Parts: sequence; C-alpha cells; structure tokens
Amino acid sequence: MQVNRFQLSFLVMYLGIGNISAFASGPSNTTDEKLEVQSLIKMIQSAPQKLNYSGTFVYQQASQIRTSKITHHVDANGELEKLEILDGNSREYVRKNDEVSCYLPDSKTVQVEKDVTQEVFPALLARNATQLPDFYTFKKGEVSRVAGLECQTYVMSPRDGARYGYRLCVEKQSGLLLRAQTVNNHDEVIEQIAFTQLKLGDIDKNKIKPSFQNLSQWHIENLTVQSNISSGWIVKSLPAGFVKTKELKRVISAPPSIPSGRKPPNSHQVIQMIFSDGMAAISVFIEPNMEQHSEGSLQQGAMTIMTKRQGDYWLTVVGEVPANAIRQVVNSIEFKPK
Amino acid sequence: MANKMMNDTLKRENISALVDGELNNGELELVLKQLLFDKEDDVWNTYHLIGDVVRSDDLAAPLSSGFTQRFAEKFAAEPLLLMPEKHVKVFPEKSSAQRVRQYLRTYLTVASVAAAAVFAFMFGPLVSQFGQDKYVSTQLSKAPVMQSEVQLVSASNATDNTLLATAEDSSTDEKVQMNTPAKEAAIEMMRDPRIDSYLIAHQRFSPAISNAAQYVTQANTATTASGK
Repeated sequence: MQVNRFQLSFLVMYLGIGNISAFASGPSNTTDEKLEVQSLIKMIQSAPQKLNYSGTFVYQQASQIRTSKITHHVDANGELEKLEILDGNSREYVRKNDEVSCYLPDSKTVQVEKDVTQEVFPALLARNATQLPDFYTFKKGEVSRVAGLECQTYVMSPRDGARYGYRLCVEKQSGLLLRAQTVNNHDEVIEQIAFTQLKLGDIDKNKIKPSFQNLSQWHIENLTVQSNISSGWIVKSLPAGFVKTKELKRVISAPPSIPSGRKPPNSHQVIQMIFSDGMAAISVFIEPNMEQHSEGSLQQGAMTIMTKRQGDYWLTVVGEVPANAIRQVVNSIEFKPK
Repeated sequence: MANKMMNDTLKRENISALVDGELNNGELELVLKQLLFDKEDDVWNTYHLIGDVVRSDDLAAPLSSGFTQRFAEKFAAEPLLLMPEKHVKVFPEKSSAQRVRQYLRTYLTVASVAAAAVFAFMFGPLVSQFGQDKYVSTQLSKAPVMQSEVQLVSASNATDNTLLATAEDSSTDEKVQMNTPAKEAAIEMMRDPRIDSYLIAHQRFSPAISNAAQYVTQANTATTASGK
C-alpha cells in the first residue's frame, strides 16, 4: 500500500516534469532559421579558438562564486591559453593545444593532462554542437551589455527535461561568448558565467607563460594514464542527444585541502567517460570500490553529482544537467566487454 | 557529578545512535522511553540539525512553527501497517554502507507518512538502485520502507506520537519545501572533499563543494555529535 503510493507519486511527479518541458519546446524551426542557428553555433564555437584575448570571468554556481583570469593566444603553432583560478587555493592551468598543465603552488605539484577535450569558458560548445537544434530551440533575445561590450542575447530552450536552458550573450563584432546563464524550467538562472573585464586583440605572449618557472623542487604528476580506451563499460540508457565524446583512464588526485590531523586520501586511477549533447556535459567515473564512501546525490547550481556502489565498483556521475538525467545515467551503467 | 556527566554522555550517544537508526528493537524502546522521560527532544533536534548542516548549509533553517504538532496529527491519522517478520531480514550483516541505507530508511518512513509525493520523487530512484538485477532491486526497494515502518509503528505503540514526530521533523520540514527542480536532489548531501577532485576532473574551473572546516568522511551524526 505504502509502496504503491510511493511509486504512484513518483510517476505523477515525473509526468509533471514531462509536461513542463513539452510546453517549453514550442513549434519546430523552418529551414532558414536552422541555417542561421548553425552559423551562430559555428561562430560561438570558433571565435574563442581564433581570437586573441585576455579577461577575467566570474563563475557563479548556487551560492558559490569563483573568479578566473584567462589569457588566450593563437598563432601558427596553435593555441596557448592560461587560466588562473583567483579564489580559494591557488591553481594555474596552462594549455598548449590539447595538453593541459596544472600548477599547484601549495603542494608544489604540476599535474599534466593530455588529449583534453573538455571546453573552458568562453569556448563552451563541444565538437558535436551542430546537433544542438535537435535538442534546443534557439530564439534571438535583446541586445545587452557585458563587461563594457555590446552583445546579442540568444535563448536556448530545451526540448525535453534532460537538460537545462541557456541564455547566451555573444559579442557583436567577434562572436565571442561574453556571458552564459543556465536556466531551469521555472526560467530562473541557477548558474552563470560571465566576463567582468575583457580585452580583445593582441596580447603579450609572455603573460601566458606559467608563473612558476623554477620547478626543480616540484613534482610532476601525469593525470592521463591512457587517453583513448574502450573499457567495456557502457551507459545503456543515455538521455536523448548525449553521445560519448571521450573515454579515458585517468588519475583522480587527492583533494586539494585536507585539514591537519587527517590522513589525506590517496590519488587513484579511474575510468572517465564524457558524454555531451553539444552544450551540457556528463562525466561518468568508474573505479574499484576500495575506500569507504557514502552513496547519495548533491546539487549545486546546475551541477548534479550522484554516487553509487555497484557490485565491486564505485560509480560517480557529474554533470550540468537536471537530477533526473544524472539518475538515468547512474542507473544504467553496465559492464559489457566485447 | 562525574557520574552524572558520564550518564549524560551515554544518553547522548544513545540518542545519536537512534538518529542514525543504529539501535535494535530492545534498545530502541528503552531510549525512546528515556527521551520522553528526560524531555531531551532538543538534543534530538540538535543532532538532526547537525546532520542536516553537515549535508548542506542550505538545510540550516529552523522548522516552521507548529510543524511538530501538525506532523504528529498527520502521523496519528495514518493507518497501522503490519508486516510479516520474514520480510524484515534483508541485510544479514551490517556494513557501513548499510548504515547509510539505514539513514535513508529513517527518512523514508517520514516520506511515506507525511510527504509521500515529494520524498518518493527524490528517494524512490535512489532506493531502487541498490540491487544488481531487477528482481533484487524490486525486493530491496520495498524492504527498507517496510522495515522502518514496522520499527516506527511498534515504537509508537510503546510511547508517544509527538515524540516520534519530533524525531523526524528537523529534517522533514525543510525538505518538503524542496520540490522545485533546482533543489530536488539537495537531500542526501555529501560534504566529502574527495567529491571536489571529481568536479575538477569534470570541469577545471568548477567551484568547490566542500571546504576544510566542514571536512567529514561520512555524514554521520554520531561522530559529529560525540566530537563536540
């Protein structure tokens, strides 16, 4: 009796959410509009790769904010980018094309990641972004101003309940993304990332050099164990539109801050699978169940994380998507070796 | 004097164990009687609040006025649910992962009694994850609800409904309001710094979840309370 009511109420809630998202999807686009959307996507995708710029952006997730400074330079040798995290523990990332080195001065550690595909603001769109119109409707919004620059707002509304909506503000001349707001189905901004200061055009290449040059006392940690693997793990029921963009074996490093008197948990190897619908990303981490963990879920802004023990394995799923999408993923992970 | 202090410590450890659902039936009855006799429900409330805050700062809110009373009335109006004994024994040994489940089970009882819709939405899928195959999964998803049902029903016979309502409300009231999608998963929170490493692996500039001051390996009220 109790269980029936339990299941029924779940069903009711589930249908409720389905209705809301159906309402949000609206009529389908004409071919002309689709073409325009594709060129918009291409512009947002390519601008941050071809431009030189330096700026400061703020990332707000629920009650947390984080400020970062980004410097991007591109020439015949490819892309060079420095990302300095200005809040909390000091961290500095230097990216040369698809290799990222993270400098952690507190622990005198350099963490190296190879073959990186995850995007960093303002390059938010993934490689499969051309499929975005299948899962979001695009609408031109008002002209706005961010970091002293004029920008055009575009509203991306999800066609189903497996993803959030976005409000993007794109700089008019360059096509660079100046602000991205994540919006839930009540049209509330739950997360946002925006430049507070931005300089477009030539930048001093010396500014991209790592701030830490003498690394003789530092220790170098390679986070990428194997960058392209096929582990045999699959997600049987992915939310619509999400495709695997990467599967790798990597190191999860020990947490940056551990109070004294506690033994810090060691770094360990995990399998990471990254799925994307072109905009939102979901990471699945799989590892042997060695330590004591507690199962559960947590939400902060648009980010949901769920953890679960499955047999001898420990699963962690993280993504900027609604909890039901994360739940669908965490509940359909299977080992199917070929 | 020292004796009284020791008594108090022991009593509080018992309350803490009760909050975590770690008492057997015999102990349960004893501790509930003691709680009622000593009017220790503020200790009980405090422990729940500690547990909530450990999970998230967002849960650090006082109960709305008269919540305990309203909950008790609704609980008293619920029909008794009796279960055969054999359904109860699902987990033979007790690991720490199970303690977490037990914790969930405690909340599930409240869910089924007071806020079925909201809680079911949030916990239903979590509970049904525990099995490997479909059959086990169904069985387990029923079992935890039934088991805590039996425990609480027998307890309410022995003591007083209001007390039991107090027992759960510090976590319930706040959570019942969380039926907006933005907060729907904010229930079972982990303030585990290990989580941050996964977040950074997912996204380089992700803000941290935990900070040093809130370091806990497991969201366990017993350790938090006794460490005070």
